Amino acid sequence: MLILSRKTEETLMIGDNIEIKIIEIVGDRVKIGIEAPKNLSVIRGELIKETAEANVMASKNSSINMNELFEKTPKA
Amino acid sequence: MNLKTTKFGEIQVDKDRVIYFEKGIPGFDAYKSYVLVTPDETSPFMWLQSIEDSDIALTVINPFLIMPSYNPEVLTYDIEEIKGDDIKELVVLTVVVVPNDISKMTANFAAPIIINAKVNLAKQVIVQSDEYKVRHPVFDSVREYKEREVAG
Repeated sequence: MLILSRKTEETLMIGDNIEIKIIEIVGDRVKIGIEAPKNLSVIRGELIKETAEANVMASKNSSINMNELFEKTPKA
Repeated sequence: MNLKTTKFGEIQVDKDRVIYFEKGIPGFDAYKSYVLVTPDETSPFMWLQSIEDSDIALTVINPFLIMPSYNPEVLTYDIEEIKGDDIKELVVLTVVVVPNDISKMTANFAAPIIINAKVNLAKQVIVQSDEYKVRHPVFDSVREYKEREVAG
């Protein structure tokens, strides 16, 4: 893995058209701006893992009677 | 064909209604074929039942019923992957997690399932913005939907 040090307002270029800019650093949080082509997916790394966990949990929604789930939801 | 399922017993599945996820879905990458089961037509909840594993059935809901303002931005190439050249053919579903305490139910608005109903190809895509959450509480929205839609 390539490791570089950057300060606020400094950038990184990946190839010709992906720019990553350090916007702000507060404590242990870094705010990052990303310019990338529209057809490129830019998502938080945890999202796939969180979605996988939610999918697995959703397949275990078995403790309730599936046919009655909506029936059991009280009206507002 | 007949399909044995853990949740619904043995069900009839029309081969033309089998939905194919070329890359599987996160958490179940190896399972590609599902069928949408709607045991109760009056309920907004449906189930994506795996064809390959009788135990796997994910609760899903049409997100627009419980979040009318839902407007996820998805990548063109995700839509191209399911050959979605006609937006009218696209069906959007969100996966719902229902814990024992159903008042804590959540829906994954960050990763909708998009089905091209014309060819039954589907993909769970990640939306390109931070405004939608993987665990968005929806119990109150489901109650409000019930209040609106179900008489009596």
